[in-house]
Amino acid sequence: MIRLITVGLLLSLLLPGSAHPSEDFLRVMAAGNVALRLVIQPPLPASGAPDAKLADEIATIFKLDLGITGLFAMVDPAPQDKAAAVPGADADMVLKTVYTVSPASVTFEYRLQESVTGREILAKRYSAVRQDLRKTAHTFSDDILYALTGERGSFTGKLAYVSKAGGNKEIYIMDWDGFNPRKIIANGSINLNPDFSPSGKELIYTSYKNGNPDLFRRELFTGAEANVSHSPGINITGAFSPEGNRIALAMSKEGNSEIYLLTKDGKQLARLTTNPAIDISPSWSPDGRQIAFVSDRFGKPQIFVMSFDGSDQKRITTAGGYNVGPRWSPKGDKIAYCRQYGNGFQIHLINPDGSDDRQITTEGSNEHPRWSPDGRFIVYSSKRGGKESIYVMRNDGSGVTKISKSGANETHPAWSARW
Amino acid sequence: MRKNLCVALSVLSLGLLLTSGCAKDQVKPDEGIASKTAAAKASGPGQNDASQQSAAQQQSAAQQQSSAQQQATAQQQSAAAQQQAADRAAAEKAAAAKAAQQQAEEKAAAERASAAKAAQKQSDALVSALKMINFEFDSFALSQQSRDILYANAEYLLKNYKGKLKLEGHCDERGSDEYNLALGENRAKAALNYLLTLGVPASQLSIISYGKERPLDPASTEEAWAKNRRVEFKEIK
Repeated sequence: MIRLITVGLLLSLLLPGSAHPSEDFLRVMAAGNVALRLVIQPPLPASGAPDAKLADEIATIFKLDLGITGLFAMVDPAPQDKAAAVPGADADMVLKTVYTVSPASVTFEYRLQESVTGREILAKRYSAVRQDLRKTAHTFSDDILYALTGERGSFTGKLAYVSKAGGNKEIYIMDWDGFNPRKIIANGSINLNPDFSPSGKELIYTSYKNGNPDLFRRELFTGAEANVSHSPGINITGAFSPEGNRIALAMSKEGNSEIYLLTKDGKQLARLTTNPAIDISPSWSPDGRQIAFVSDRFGKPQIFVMSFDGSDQKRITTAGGYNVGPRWSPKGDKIAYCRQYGNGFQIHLINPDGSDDRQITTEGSNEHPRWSPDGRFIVYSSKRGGKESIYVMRNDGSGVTKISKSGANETHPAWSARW
Repeated sequence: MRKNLCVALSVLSLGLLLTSGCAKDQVKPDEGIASKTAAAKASGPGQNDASQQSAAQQQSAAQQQSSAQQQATAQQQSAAAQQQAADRAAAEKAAAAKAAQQQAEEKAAAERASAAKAAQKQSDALVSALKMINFEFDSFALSQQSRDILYANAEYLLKNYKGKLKLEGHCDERGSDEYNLALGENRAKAALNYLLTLGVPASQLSIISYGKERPLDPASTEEAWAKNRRVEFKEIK
């Protein structure tokens, strides 16, 4: 069994300063306001010789995590700052890191302070084994977002995705920023459509390993696996319900592809669609009361919404000849999906009632949108020239960042809850 | 001492069992018990000598239990003789069985080889006889050309093939991979249903969809896409 998580974060100690979101900052960070100017100071050793590599690694993580939120404008910690009357006077906040390296572990002290007054906004100390040092920085980034906006970040979540790095389509897990990729499902067959349980500790996926596209559920920490659905025909595009006890799934056992509701152990609860067209790709609303899906009942694939009991089925996309892959946002206000343009796709956002349909990607071909658990970001597969890779962008289409690093075809990302 | 006797007795009784078993084999079912004994006595040397000896030995063993030591020696000799005879018979039997088995194996191997050859020939013929069919983009409708191909395939199957077939539905790379899994299945199903109407038994046919996961031609050209939108016929071995 692959060790999915190392015993890390031995100590997470709250230092003076509040972890609760401050009203002042909630106002400042509100949407539409200008970005806060942030200095990320080069991490310094508490004592002894500096470790330049470690210092650079930590600073780079903060730059990426906090930079992609779009909430901060990074101010260079320029050397002449030291000479200035008030250091960091041209910034709103300073992020300071002090580290202590011992043979067994690394201890970090992270502090976010107001630049001019030096007032501490958030401070934490972490002790971690060396391979978990990245996690300490991602955790502090999540905490900074909580302190400043009232909503925690998703940087300690994992991305599951399908990779052809080994030749076949296999399922991997990596950090949100593409580090620590690990193969978790490989069987020489085709493996598709990973989806995390709400806890992030289980994964469902479709595999041909038994000769038919069946749905499997795997516990990531124990490796225990169950063949949840193996009806004749397809058992694909499984989606965990928001509370994690049910799975919506497309199966063709009764003639053509229809959407069904199962318990997470595979017991059928209900059949939700009934028509001779293809119904596929269910996605739950965050309250579990509705399901978005794809149907070609009017000729071409379009996005529909229905109640979780199958009633009240409505088409919501009215433009575009080929719309697929809906994913409901964690806040419930938007549905991301992809529309075919020529021979490629672009990602759109639409309101669940069908209003405000707009395209948010333009470059290359972009598919398989999935939301980060905090709803700030969309992770997706993008093909720009060569192979498909995993990308992340903000939920308005800005901040496009390439994440996967293997160079192999990588698609179908899913973003887990915090690990 | 007592132990020795016990061993000897048990070897003896085993010998008795063996030899009486042999004797019984030579008796016809309609003969009485008396004639059975006679037959055993009348039959020639070898095992039946041993049988007679052992019968005598059994008697003397019963009568002379008090002088057990002498008897034990005699019994051991007798048991050894029986054992020799039994071994000889077993060896002959084993040799015959081995020869027969070898022959059977050779025959089976030859049969297997020729069966494999025939199966391969049939597979090759099947592969060259059963043409794949193609589709328009985002469609599982059977064109006239596809129907003609399926008709020819059905004719071939009805005449020449009683085994099982899998119909594999495939798509080109342009559509959504999820939707294409359902579309590929609809293509395979369309082909299946047409073959059924042409009289191919349902028990011979099954379907699977690979969506766009297994293109014949990985190129991103109209020509490759047209080739990849297909249903293929695969023998289930």
